[in-house]
Amino acid sequence: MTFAGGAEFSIAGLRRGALASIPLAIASAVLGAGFGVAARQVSLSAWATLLMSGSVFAGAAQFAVLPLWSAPLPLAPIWFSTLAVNARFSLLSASLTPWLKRYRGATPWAAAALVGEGQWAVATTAYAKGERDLGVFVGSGLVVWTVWMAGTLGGFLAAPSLGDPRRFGLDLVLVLFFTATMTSAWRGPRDLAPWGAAALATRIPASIVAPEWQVLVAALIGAAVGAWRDTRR
Amino acid sequence: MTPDARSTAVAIGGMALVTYLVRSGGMVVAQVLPGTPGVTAFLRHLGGSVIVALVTATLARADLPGLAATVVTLLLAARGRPTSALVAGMTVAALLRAL
Repeated sequence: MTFAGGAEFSIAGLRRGALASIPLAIASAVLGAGFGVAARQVSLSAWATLLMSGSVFAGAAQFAVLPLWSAPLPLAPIWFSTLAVNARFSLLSASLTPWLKRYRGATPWAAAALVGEGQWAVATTAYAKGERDLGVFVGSGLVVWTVWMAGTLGGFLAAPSLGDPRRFGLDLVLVLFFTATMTSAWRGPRDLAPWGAAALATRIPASIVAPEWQVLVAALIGAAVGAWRDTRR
Repeated sequence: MTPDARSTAVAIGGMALVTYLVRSGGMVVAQVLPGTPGVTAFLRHLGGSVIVALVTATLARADLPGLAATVVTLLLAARGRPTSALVAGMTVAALLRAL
């Protein structure tokens, strides 16, 4: 299918995205397993664990609500925490918008449901090399979603025989996953200024920026510094 | 106490809704922004900044094995081996914690 401005969406694109996501898929499966283990430890049921991974599809936010998971469920704190931790997704989809807006109808809305760091990195790396087929992003997202679900189920089933997941470094899966993603998103020295600014901005005291908004504010500052540097002449 | 099925489903449904709204909301906002060079550059730098901020914010709370694991992952991932980087990082943390 071809949309305005020669934007494409094809099966071949889906396949390219899926193939480019093999390392990411392994990492996502491990991350999913970490979540499955953690969810079972706070006695989430199997269906609830899978429903959450399938419909929320956001590792950091899912881990973040687990400590809140006891009856009666504190709905407002659970939803607010999800909003705060996932607010960064709005920045990822904003950065994909020059690509997404070439498509009409339900396509961009469906693609938005798959936004996450890993598939964002796969897609923008391809975009920088001239790729314009949105199938690449969707294919990557679908692969990640599938292995994330499989990992969640595997972790949930294996949890009782694992003992303390910290022994295996499973609590670190998320930060290590983001570290590896960060490295593949590096485009060279021109990223130094925005990245350094974002990193520094996470040091803003909690009295000024509440911890749950830290990542969002730091990312906005980093991007603003990058934009200022690029447009200054 | 374990929450009942109904409130569990409501809680998860709300999480999914909130998450979809932020995922699609970024696209809606970015579409109405003017396509000036500054806005374009800002959008281009957003994604990387998000990931850097995530890593830095998490590391501030990490223990020593966690920091060591991150350094190992960073070095291996920089050599283009993201998967072994992740596994090696976890292994380093597991070994240090077993000491």
